Amino acid sequence: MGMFNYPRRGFLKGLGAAGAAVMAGGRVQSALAQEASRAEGRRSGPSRAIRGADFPAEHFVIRHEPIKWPKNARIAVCWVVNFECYSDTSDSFDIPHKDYSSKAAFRRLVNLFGKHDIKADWYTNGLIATRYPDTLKELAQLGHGLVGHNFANNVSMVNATEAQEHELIKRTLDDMERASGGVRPLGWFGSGGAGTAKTFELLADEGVIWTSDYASDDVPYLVPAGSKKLVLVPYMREANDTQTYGTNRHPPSALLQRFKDQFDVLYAEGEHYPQMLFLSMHAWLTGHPSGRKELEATIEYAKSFPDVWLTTETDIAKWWIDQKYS
Amino acid sequence: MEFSDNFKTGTRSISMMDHARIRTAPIEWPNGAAVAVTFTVIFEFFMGSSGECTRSIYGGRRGVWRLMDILDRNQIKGSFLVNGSAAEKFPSAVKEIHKRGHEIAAYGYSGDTILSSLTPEAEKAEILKTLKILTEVTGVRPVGWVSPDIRPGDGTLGVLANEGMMWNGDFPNDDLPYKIKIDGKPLLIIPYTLESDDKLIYTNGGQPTSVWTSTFTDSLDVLCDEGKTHPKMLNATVHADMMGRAVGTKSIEQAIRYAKSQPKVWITTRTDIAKWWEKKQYT
Repeated sequence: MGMFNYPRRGFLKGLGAAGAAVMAGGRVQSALAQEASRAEGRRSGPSRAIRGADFPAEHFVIRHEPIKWPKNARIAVCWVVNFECYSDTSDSFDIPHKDYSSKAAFRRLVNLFGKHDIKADWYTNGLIATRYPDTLKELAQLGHGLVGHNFANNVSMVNATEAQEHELIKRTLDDMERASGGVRPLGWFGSGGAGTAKTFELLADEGVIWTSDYASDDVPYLVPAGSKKLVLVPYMREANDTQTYGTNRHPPSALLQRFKDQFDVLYAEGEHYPQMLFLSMHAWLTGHPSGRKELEATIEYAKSFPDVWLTTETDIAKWWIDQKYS
Repeated sequence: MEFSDNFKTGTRSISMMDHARIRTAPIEWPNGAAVAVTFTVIFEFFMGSSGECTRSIYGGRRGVWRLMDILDRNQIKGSFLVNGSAAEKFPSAVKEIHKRGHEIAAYGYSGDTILSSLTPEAEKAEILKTLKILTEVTGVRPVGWVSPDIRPGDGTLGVLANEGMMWNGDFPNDDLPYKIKIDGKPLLIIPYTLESDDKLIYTNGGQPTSVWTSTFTDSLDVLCDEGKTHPKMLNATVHADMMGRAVGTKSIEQAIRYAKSQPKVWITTRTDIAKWWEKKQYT
């Protein structure tokens, strides 16, 4: 799960001496440790990940006719922050590393977005509501988008049972609503975009109106969610710091280059077929000082063009519903 | 005395001695070209539950359409490798590829069904099913085959030859095609270029798309030089849901423009290469 494949050690909260005894060659093997994993819905069963063969027909209906954005914008642009937290079943490196998100990175990113009057979408692990509730209260007050992003990023929704999956969704949304002072997220992105054939229905039942789980188009479309529908606002991982900086240690400028490469093409296409672009970052990566200049440059670049709608995915989803787009 | 399996060689369809034949005599391309270049688009769909199944939807909804537009505005024909399931899910996209005159070759049924993992019966059924779907959707039976993930099974070449297929593109083992006989029937192997492949460089390798372009243009420079005396071929591949996204457009157009700017480059399709090979009676 983490960037580094360190052996699991430490942070087996509550295991005490038994926890110490379960380390065998760096691997956690005892029944007790397995129980800890199971409690988190992690590796607790066979994968229930959705199969390509199970996709409903809506995914295969190609939109050829252009849509319109507000003020006839050629492109809608969003900045997405993956705001992550790892639970106690993770290892002793990942927990503090992801905690950088809420401690140092949060303030830097909030200040930067504030300086440019940008509202971002914060893909928030529910555990942040427990560990750093004030961050969510502040984001809500500032009008940023609060988006559910699983309970903790090291927890699998697809290896969980359906009941556990529902619990992970509900607990995340409930906790975020409470910590933020009453803002229940309208959007959802599973950890790594992972989900089951049941996910959309569970989300809709909990009041969610949009998801970005699939990287399946350039513009949104409606997908069935039980008896309801969700707006699928397709994810983009092309300008994404895990692709450039996190895994591959390209210089931070690589993120800016990818953003520009996509922006230029989509903006040109947007003259006849309005398009959408996200820059997707992780607070623990781009929220580091090394990322700030390039992140700021993406904002300035997008702002230097006319007919650009700087928005959030929640506002895109609301627009989609208002316009009755399919 | 029985030898152990360690000493068996040349017994599998993918190791038979036909593949080991080295061509030293130069061939000619049309108009004295030094290099034949193919631009390949892989249009796949994943029926299973790999992490790639949701993103593979992008290929049919958006990626192939953008790539067709790029090829058309640069006035070249692409070599599209299409999964049978992609044609089932997105028939209008596959019909459009055919209508615009690009080559459609078969790429197995599903991106995550690897032929080498199947029983011989299932492998054959997978190939026949794919050919049937593509024939129904476009009205024309494909003459070429590349296996998903470039991993043929031991029975793949035999099934293809017996089905009267013209060429197979599973072997990244040479710079020129070569003919084999299997079950007494001919099949042309058109080698695959793994180097300029966006899945390896961009998606799995995490490199900027410009690395895909420079890998291709560096290779082309060398082959243009070698091709003065010994003409060669080169392929560049993009996947509809990878560099078929907006992020790849500039790099793809740079590569195409560079190839077009070379005086002795023949931009073509695998099937036209196979027809030329047949016409010249090359082995």
